[in-house]
Amino acid sequence: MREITIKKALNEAISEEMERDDDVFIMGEDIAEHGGVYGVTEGLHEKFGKNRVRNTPISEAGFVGAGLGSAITGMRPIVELMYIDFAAVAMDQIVNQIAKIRYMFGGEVKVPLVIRTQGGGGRGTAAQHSQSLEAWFTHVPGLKVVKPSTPYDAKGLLKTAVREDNPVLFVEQKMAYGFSGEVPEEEYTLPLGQAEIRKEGSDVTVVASAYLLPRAMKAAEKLKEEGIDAEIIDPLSLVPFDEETIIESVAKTGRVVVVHEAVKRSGFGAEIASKIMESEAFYYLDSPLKRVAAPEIPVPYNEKLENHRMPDADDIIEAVKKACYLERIK
Amino acid sequence: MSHEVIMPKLGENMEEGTVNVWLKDEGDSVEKGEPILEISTDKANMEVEAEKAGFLGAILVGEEETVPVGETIAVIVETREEIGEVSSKIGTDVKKEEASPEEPASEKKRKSIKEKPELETSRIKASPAARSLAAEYDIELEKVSPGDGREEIIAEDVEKFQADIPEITPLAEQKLTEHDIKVEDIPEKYFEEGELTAEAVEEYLFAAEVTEEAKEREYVSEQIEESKKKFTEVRKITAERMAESFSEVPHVTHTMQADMKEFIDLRNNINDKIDRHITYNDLLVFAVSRALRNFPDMNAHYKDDEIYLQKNINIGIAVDTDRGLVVPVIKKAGKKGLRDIAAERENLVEKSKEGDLKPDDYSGGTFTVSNLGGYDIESFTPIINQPEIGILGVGKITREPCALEDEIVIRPVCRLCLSFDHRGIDGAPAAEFLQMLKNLIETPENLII
Repeated sequence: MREITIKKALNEAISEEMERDDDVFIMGEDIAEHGGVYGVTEGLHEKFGKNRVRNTPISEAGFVGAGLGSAITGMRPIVELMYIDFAAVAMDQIVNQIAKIRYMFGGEVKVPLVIRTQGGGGRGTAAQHSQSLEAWFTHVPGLKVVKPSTPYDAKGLLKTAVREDNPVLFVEQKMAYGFSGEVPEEEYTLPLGQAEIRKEGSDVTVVASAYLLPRAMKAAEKLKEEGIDAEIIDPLSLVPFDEETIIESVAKTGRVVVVHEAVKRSGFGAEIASKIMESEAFYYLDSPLKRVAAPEIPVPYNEKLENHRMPDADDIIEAVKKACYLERIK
Repeated sequence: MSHEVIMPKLGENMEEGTVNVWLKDEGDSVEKGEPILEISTDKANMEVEAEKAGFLGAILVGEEETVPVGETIAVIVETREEIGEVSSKIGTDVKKEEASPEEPASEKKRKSIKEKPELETSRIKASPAARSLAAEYDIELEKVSPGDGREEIIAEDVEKFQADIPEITPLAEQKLTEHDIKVEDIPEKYFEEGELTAEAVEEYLFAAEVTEEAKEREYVSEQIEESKKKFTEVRKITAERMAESFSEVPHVTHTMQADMKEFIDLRNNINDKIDRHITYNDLLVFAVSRALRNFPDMNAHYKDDEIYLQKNINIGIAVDTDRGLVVPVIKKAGKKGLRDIAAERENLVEKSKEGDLKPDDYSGGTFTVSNLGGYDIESFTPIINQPEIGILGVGKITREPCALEDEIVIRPVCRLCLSFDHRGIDGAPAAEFLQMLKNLIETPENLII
């Protein structure tokens, strides 16, 4: 099967959906001639014209709100927020308007809006352009939050998000745009709320996604050499969340390490941990759950500090060993 | 202003102290000279008094915790307002945690003082999986012990416990029911590779029937092999010091027999003449002190690979009390007369039995005498009371046939057992010292020459 990058897979998804449905259009900062700050919308302007691939002013509250307006009047907009950090500027639109409208109008309006954005560190973009803020949005009822890890699920999930009648925040990772993987030529979509078992294992469940998924896979390889068989689960979508897959895995392994790039405190790992604790899987837990996540500091601009802050394979290995009582639990 | 209360050094040998009990709580007002806590040192309990009036601002060392001498154990502040602040100012010894920028350091430190790192609960530390399994197998978690040096019980421990439960063959099961015997009552020796067969049950029944008494004995010996004795503070200190000395010091014990005839006569004569009762111990301490005067190499301390000859001759006497062994010290025995030695001995023994010894009473010893003559002990190998380099063990005075000139006569004799630190002194000089002591005892007039 052909291999393409996440960037290309996303581009194909948008292109295919725009071809399929005339109501789909895309707008955002520098997405037209420039092709987007990370090049996801390259060539779309030429292909679909300026009416359907629209540059916006630097006014997140304005164009995100415009996206909502066009969605409730029947269009299916894809709004690109250049950095998830900028969502803070549009927070009222996202939290108070987009997430609430369908509910407050008694279901009389639909909000078929996708907010595509990207977050995360690894590129030296400093404190205001490197955050992993997805957990903020999972706290707001009315929003779906999707976080792809591979080209295959990026494409399949984005196509589904576009066809979804409720608002979806689609969170990409800037360093993962270059990840390549197999994507079929023929059309497909993937359902939201279905986790993917990236590697089967019997000793410990590691939950990881996006930029940290390859690191978790590398950790699993090393752990295998030491006789620890890790199962790696990628949630793919945080809302809706596939509890069943994780709970079944934990019930099997009895040990969990949750990995994410966001800061540990109140990160989505806390929610995953709670879901496990509240479930039947609790009775199968054989060691305290461990979280591997960033420390509670802003993302440093300095490359070494930024890398130090970012969880890596060694951090995951250490946590897994603690969970397996191979090192004392701190 | 705040004033730090430190673990005091109450005796020369005191290196650490244990907080027994806090007599004041954090925030309580204290007067100057008022006892605020009780500590236990080498061999006694002592109250520590406040050196300043004010309020007990922070307690930094909990009860039953042991800290080195000089370590800050509490803080006294002048005003009530300072009570909350002090803990953050001290805390150099408090475990430092990585403080996040948004959390004020003071709060963090205060927490680390108050919070115990380990949860205190009587519940068993077991994982949910271990609990579920134990419930499934109907195993009491109390019986399961954690493996691999862990302190928490996890699923594999329960699995192992379950696997180790003996299998009982159906016939054996039937026999057990018939005779109304519980499988727990059957000693381990009847199990073969974890399996209990009907034949084994019959063997057990036969053995049990031989005599009811035998059965009782077996039951008792199988069930109650040991019981934990309360470890007193003195016991603990003795255990530590003995183990330290025994493992660190190359002990050699010389044993020499001494004729006690003259010594006994001397003591009887003296006791007839003076109002104070003189014991053999008094006379022994006196003799030892005189021998040491002529033999300074034995009156020494061995510390940090150096030998320190001691100016004073301070003789420790081992005293057995209800609380355990204590060794009060007769100071400057080398300069004291027999009457003074006896008076001091009487006072120290009294205090020992009452548990009233002050650190000064049992520190500074340069040589120790341990007399087991009250029992039928002939000789033994005493353990050196570090950092001293010698200890004299004294056995019972027995009447034995001895060769005197060319005749066999019955004489009162006693064995002198000198243990010495071979790092500090060699066998020959130690023998010379013992020889000198023997001469002094056998010919007591030498004591006054």
